[in-house]
Amino acid sequence: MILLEVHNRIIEELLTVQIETFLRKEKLVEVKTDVVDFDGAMYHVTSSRDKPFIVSIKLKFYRDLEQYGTDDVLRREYGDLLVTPLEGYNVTLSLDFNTQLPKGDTNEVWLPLVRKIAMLKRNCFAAVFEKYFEFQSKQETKTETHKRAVIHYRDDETMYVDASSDRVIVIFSTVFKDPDDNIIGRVFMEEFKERRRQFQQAPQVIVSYRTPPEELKDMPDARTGDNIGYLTFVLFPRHTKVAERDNTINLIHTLRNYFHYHIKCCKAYLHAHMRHKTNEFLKRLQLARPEVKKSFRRIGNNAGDAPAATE
Amino acid sequence: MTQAVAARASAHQPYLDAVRATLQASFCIENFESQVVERHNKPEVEVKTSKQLLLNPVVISRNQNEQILIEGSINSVRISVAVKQADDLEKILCKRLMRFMMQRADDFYILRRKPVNGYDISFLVTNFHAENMYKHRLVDFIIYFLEEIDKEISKMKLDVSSRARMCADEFFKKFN
Amino acid sequence: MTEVHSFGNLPVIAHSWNKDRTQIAVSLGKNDVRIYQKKDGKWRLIHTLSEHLSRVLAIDWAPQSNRIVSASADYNAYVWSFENNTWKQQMVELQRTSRAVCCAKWSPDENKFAIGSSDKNVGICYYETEQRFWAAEMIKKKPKLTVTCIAWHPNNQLLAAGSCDYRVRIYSAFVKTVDREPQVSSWGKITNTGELLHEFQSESGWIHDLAFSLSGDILAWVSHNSIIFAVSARNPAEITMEITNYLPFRCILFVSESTMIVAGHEFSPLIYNYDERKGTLNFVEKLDQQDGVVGKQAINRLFDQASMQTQTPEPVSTHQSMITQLLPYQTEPNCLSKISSADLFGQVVIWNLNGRKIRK
Repeated sequence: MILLEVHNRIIEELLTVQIETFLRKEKLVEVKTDVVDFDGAMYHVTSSRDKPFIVSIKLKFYRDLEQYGTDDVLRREYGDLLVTPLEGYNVTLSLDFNTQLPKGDTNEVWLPLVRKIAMLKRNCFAAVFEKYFEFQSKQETKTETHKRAVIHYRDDETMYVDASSDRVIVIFSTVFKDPDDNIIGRVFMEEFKERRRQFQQAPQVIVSYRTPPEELKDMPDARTGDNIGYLTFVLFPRHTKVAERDNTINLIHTLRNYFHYHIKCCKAYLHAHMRHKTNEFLKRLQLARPEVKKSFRRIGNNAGDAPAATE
Repeated sequence: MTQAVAARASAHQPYLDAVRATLQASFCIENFESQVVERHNKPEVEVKTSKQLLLNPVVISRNQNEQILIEGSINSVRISVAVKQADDLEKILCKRLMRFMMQRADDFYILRRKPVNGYDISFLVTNFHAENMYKHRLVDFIIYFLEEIDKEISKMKLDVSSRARMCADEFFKKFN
Repeated sequence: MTEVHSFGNLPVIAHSWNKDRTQIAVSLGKNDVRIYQKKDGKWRLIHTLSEHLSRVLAIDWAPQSNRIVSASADYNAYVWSFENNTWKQQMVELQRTSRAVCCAKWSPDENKFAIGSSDKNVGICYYETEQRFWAAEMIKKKPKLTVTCIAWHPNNQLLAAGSCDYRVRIYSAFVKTVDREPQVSSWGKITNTGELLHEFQSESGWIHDLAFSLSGDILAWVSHNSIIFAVSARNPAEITMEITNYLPFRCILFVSESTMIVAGHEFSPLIYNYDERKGTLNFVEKLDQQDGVVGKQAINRLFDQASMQTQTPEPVSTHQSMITQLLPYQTEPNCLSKISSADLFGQVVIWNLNGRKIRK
């Protein structure tokens, strides 16, 4: 798996199993579980025989997102599945298999709905992007109409979204808690900058370390420090146009996690590699040990050649 | 045998030859009981109880960053290696690999748990090792280690950047 | 012909033969002395002398009196005597010695022996007949560091000791109760016990071993800086030195009045000749003539290595590790005809000197 999945696989599978069981007219299994996801998302899933399938999500930064019309986007996506959020959660979806499941003979009828529910977190994020993409395409650039969006998507990491007449700028700040991650992270960031040139259709990428990029100079709370990195994406109309919008959002909002996921993978790979190399060194050292020695020892020496002493 | 050596000859052959010769001489160690503590037999190169039991330490440098310190004594030899680290990434790769090895010091017999100050990894060879290991094989191991360690760090470095490149490519490819 | 005897994988720290060479006492780096007997071409362990608490560092078997002295890192020395088919030990009263005893050797007359220790003591030990115990007379002017080796002069009254302080000393080992009358020796007048007669300074190198020539007129020693030294009693001020290109030597043995064999980290024993008149030490030949012999053994090696080629050449010699000790094995008038050597990988090799270029 190179690219991360946009939807939550556990939710998707749970729901699929439940629906399949339901369609086979078998008894539904009682489900009550909590699922975590990237960006500190928490899902709470319940399902039982006579109650609808309910999935709730809790996002620490939901308040940040709310300002940018999350409700509208969610209503558009989920319609009457949307119910009053469960206590302690931000959004709750409820699916009654008896009434709300699209009718049809094949899986294809209801699978898109399942996928859509599994993409709950993504759709929460989507609002802010959609809004600014809209600003840009409507050429609303005056500062009176909108300010830069600031989403504190993790405790110490922030995403900034801003629009101008010809572009939308998305800036991620990211913190490398482990000093080694910091160094590997830089290699990754540099490669992102370098490789972008090979892909003309991709958004422009600007990389800055320690200090925020120019665009954020008016943001006093943008963090600085040795282990801070900023990745700036410049999205042009070709990325923000309606047809490309979903794809762009899918990619951009998972970037931070994509990034850190691969740094972790990279470390795991290095670890495995080092283990291999260490074993190789050990084997080499073993050559000097007496076990090996024995096969070399006996010297075919003529007379009086006594066999090894017996004890 | 000579052919194998010739094939491997490279820019740092003279460096390795110097190390090999020094090691061969340094590994002339013998049992030596402590003069200070009764019924003790400790590596003199570590405990340093008497100056007269130590040999002059030898530093063989290939350049500023790559060198080996060979400290001899009557019953033990301490070999400390400074590995080339051109940038931060090489630094952490080296640090991680050394730490990895040192955690397995028990299996390595001759590996010191901590490197000598200013070096990345240290080996300690005592007369007890000499009593059950082939001396020339030990020399060979150190040389092999020196040869491999640079290669290894470069390889890992390359792996990190090629992974990063692949990640970036896959990501950008998805944009239309 | 060369005979190779193997005693397992353990290091032979010390070995010593009985009078008729049918038994061998070895220290294999453990706390005991093991005595093997050769029967039907095989070495069988017949006795284990275990009284020491640490590694046994030196063994000497007196051929005539059939007594063994053993010295160990537990700072004790024992004299073992064979009575009623068992070896009985008697502790040696080594006053003031609280460090490892590194070397022990019977005097030529076997009425006393000498020890050297890690706390710089040289002791002359003899049997106190009245009080019935082994007493030790400690030398006052002692070396500055560990005594690594000792050698008796054939006259039974002189003792040479080498030390890590780079010096070789000749002491009077005269003990009144056993020797009665002091002799006049070529190295000077012998008077009191422990008197320092000569002190020779080497270049900075630990003294590993020393030996007197058969007449006792020449003293030679080897040091860690690969140098062989020789000095004659006729001119003790003039030390002859041969700086060799070999790895350091661990042991030295005179095989005739002027020819000696040295061995150590260089796995093959080497023959050197001392020319007293010219004041030179000359390399004669290698005792081990395996070099250059390509046979089954060399081919086996190639196969063993196939997986991982080593770069440092494999030693092509009978010994594959440091030689720890050289001992006379068979004597002829005025020279030795066979010697034995032991190494760290459990081998004892008996070398035949017939046909070697040894000046009688």
